[in-house]
Amino acid sequence: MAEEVELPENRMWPPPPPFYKQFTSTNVDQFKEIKQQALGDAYDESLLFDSKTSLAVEVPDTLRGLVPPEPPAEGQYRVFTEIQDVVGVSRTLQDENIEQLYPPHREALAPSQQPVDTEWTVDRVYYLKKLTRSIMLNFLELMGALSTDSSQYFEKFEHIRALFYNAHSVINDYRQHQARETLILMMEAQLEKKRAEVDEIRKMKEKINEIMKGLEDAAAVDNASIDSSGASARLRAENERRKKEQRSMWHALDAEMAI
Amino acid sequence: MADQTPQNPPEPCYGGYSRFELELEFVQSLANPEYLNYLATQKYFDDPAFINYLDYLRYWREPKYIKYLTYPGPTLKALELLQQRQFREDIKLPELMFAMMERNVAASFEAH
Repeated sequence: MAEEVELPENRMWPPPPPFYKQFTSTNVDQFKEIKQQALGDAYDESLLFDSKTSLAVEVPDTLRGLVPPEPPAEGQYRVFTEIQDVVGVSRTLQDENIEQLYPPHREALAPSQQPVDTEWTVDRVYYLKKLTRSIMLNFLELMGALSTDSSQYFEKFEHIRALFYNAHSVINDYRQHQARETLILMMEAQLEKKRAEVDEIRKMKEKINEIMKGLEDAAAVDNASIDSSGASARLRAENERRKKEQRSMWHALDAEMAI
Repeated sequence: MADQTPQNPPEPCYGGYSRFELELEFVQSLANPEYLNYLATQKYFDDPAFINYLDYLRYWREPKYIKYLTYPGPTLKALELLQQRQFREDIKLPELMFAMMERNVAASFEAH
């Protein structure tokens, strides 16, 4: 076992894992150099702690701690004191030693075993409803058993357990379908957002066009009135002088900023 | 202990747990605003090494690892927020912590 670790008693929460102490800037810089050398031009900042490339490069033992751990390939792992199976292996009713209370899929059976039962349907909801009703009935029976002889609870308890396992198994049949539907919803939401954005841009464009048109009209009216008064030449000279002044101001500012 | 949890020989263990297990637990703890507040008040976020470590933990976004997260949404959201200096400062305030907790509860009701 690991050596005794002394924990201060007034801690409300556990401290973070001590691995962070290895992430000093010197270590990270060294690690970065190694990855840059290994990846060459393909390297960019986002790949610094990327697991695939990190696991592929040779790193000295001092920098081992900067490489993400490999997930467990098989078997079990623990998280918050619970034991979990490695993802990808979903438990079936057979694994739990529980009788399957609804008929299996047609594809899973040999042609000779095909169900002839008229009750058979591809619609899983039908079985789910049936199971739910059975659960409620069994609950009532459990209550009945408890009110007369509470030592008889175990059988009913086991029935309810089996029914719940079956219901979950039916629900799990829907997972792929659920994933597909979720994806469709997400893509539709994205499309909706993009459409709204395009609409906004169109509206803004129209608004700007209107303003520009208004300005054009106003300028035309102004020019006409100035020309008619004969003062346009004087005004133009005045404008020219102001522009020149502003330009020199900008140049000065640019020079200042450049330093 | 050792024969109950067989580990690959090159994988070092820390107090009986693999690094994968320890980091999986830690990264999921980050979804708890109270824990973030605790880390902030304990001055962990003042340590540049810890900031680098938070950057490193983003490997959990990769498909290879994300499937191990029980609640990937809140976990990764917290991890992304922690990359921002401003958030690391702000989470010291209990007000933000409570606001985040309220939002989390509200969101869980919306989802059902």
